[in-house]
Amino acid sequence: MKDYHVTIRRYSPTEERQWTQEYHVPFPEGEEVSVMNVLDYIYRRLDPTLAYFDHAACRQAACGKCLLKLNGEVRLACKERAQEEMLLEPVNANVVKDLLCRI
Amino acid sequence: MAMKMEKAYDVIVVGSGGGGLRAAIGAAENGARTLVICRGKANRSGATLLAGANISADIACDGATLDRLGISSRLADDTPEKWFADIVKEGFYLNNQEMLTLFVETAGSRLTEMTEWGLTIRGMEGEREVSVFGSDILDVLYKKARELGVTFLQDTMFTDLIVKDGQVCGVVCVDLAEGGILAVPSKAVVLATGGAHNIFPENSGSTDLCGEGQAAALRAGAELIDMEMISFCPTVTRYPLMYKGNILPYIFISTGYGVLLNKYGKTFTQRYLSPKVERLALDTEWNKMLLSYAIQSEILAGRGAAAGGVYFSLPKEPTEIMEELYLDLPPLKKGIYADIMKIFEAGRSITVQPSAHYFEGGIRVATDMSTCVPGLFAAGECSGGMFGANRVSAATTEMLVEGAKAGASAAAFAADCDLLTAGDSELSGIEEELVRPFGRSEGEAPGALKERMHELTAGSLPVIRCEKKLNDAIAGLEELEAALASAAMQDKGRAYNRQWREYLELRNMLPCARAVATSALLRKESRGVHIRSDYFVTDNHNCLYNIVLSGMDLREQLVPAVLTKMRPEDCCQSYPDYIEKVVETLE
Ligand SMILES: Cc1cc2nc3c(=O)[nH]c(=O)nc-3n(C[C@H](O)[C@H](O)[C@H](O)COP(=O)(O)OP(=O)(O)OC[C@H]3O[C@@H](n4cnc5c(N)ncnc54)[C@H](O)[C@@H]3O)c2cc1C
Ligand code: FES
Repeated sequence: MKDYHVTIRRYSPTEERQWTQEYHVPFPEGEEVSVMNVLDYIYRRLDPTLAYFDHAACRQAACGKCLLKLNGEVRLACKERAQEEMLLEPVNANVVKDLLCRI
Repeated sequence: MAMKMEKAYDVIVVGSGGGGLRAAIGAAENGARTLVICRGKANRSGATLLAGANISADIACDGATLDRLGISSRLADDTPEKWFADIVKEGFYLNNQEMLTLFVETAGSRLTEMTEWGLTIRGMEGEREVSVFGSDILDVLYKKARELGVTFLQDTMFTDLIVKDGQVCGVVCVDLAEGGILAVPSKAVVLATGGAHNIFPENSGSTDLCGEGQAAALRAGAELIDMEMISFCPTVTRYPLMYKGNILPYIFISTGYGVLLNKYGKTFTQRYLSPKVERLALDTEWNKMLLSYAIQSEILAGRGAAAGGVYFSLPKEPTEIMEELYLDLPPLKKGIYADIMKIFEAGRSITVQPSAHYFEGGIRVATDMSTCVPGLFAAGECSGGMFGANRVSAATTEMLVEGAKAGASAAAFAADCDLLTAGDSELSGIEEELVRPFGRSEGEAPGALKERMHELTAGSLPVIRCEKKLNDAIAGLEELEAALASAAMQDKGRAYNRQWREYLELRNMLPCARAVATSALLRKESRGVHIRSDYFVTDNHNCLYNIVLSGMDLREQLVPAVLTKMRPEDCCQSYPDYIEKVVETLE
């Protein structure tokens, strides 16, 4: 198993609170996974409160709505290959919750 | 947080794929104050965006119109009648022939106006199919709708129709970012929410396609038709996980590139398809049905890949083949496709599997797109009946034809009726159900229920079905519906709460899946895209009916198919033999 170490800049609108949270996500060695696959794993298995764009997601790099910052660079979560060390941040200051922004 | 009442409209359209946008244009052109409720971004959602994988989507139209428009003269002597006959034969005679008449007679006008509104035609895909981009269709329609003064409410998820005295008088929806519940009054509603792809774990659609229009229509008193009929796209990516759902291997197969291999590295389609069928039908729209049948059979025979599905391989030798491929499909050099091509360049394959792709069935409509509930209309993939047991012409044309009709009909209905005002008695029950999981501390999480639904649908509802599994699926889905009523969530906030959204989706996906299983059980034969291993015959003698379901208990009605112009021969034949017979008539 390969361990993806993910740090996410989070924001809760209910508590008006900002913090960073770390997760360890395992995927089989050699499996090609996107940043969105990693986020899905966190939501399903580790933390169901995590928010990122997925309510009308094409997952094929066609809608352009899953933008976020990966280690400081603006990327599409569904198109970008996950890295072993990742800092994920909202793409702009207009944050609704966690990684979901108004774009 | 109580329900917020919004200002009223004449017509509300739910969904902003091609069907919804065209309906909004139709309504606004006929003088209706029109609102479109979009789950995502108005012009970047639904199956329309993904049509043809943005390499080449087709819009279909009769050859004579194409000639007149100066697009293609390949079939200049074509007539709507010839086209009609092809679609009915290949739809295995379940198509509603009155609806299909509307399709062949107005497709030309729909394509003509699209070109006038600025749609770029990128070439021809077939004799009646022009090549366009899905995103272009959406941009052209969105611009036109904006010019006509249509209002858009984005990132807003429709949940329910409001019904008073048996008539529709608005919709309830959730503002996903804030989590507020809104009621929007209107005189008429057009549902255009697309297919129910996400009831299956393997599908080619986007995450917004959950059958929410279909289930809400059922709750409001409308009927569903032909729900057993689902086209599977045969070669949708399953692995690598990163590209799951991508249909590029299907584009390759349709263009003629690549081979399908079982776990032994052998080709296998010839085991299930006769040479004649392979020769005549594998480069037509039929390839979806035929290859799905062959691949699923190979998987059931235990010769699929260890990870599920079968292998799609693109031989690298001779190297000229790759050069040909890049010449034929230039988009492969860019973006996500360039990433996928690296897999093949490295000599590896992609695992593919038949995946839910297009829903022939859906909300039952008349030829003016009205349902049996006054004020309620439906258009596009969420409606049913047009393509019978196998869609062989463009769904993009269907959405434009039906959208235009539904919008105009809804506007005419609205012009003639007073706005009914919904009160507490209509709204409080809906709200209570929507917020139910917030009040519970113990129960299964929606995500876990969704995984259980996916196990049932993948196991029981794919291409080849049988009575025992369908019965198990129905029992399992009923159990899940009961469990959903007592689901609980860890996330207690209203704002962008994915657990809540999954709860709301399941409230619609579970009855949709149950409707598919129920219809599939009732159709005791194999016809078109619906295949039963325990009834492996196409039976024109006993089964030329449409299955209509109503009420949340899915009361069934077997309605004789609408065969106003053409009837099939009265026979009962094994599924492969019958297909071969129909294929012969394609020549
Ligand atoms: C990958 C793929 C490729 C295809 N290629 C082709 C092709 O080449 N040619 C062809 O003819 N057909 C093709 N099809 C089929 C065709 O694209 C669709 O049948 C057609 O676009 C459906 O249009 P529609 O407007 O009815 O639905 P969609 O385009 O699916 O739109 C549905 C809309 O409803 C919205 N919605 C859903 N639920 C809600 C809700 N609860 N609240 C608010 N809004 C909601 C969605 O966000 C979306 O905007 C393809 C389909 C897929 C999946
Ligand atoms: S989900 Fe559409 S671009 Fe990523």
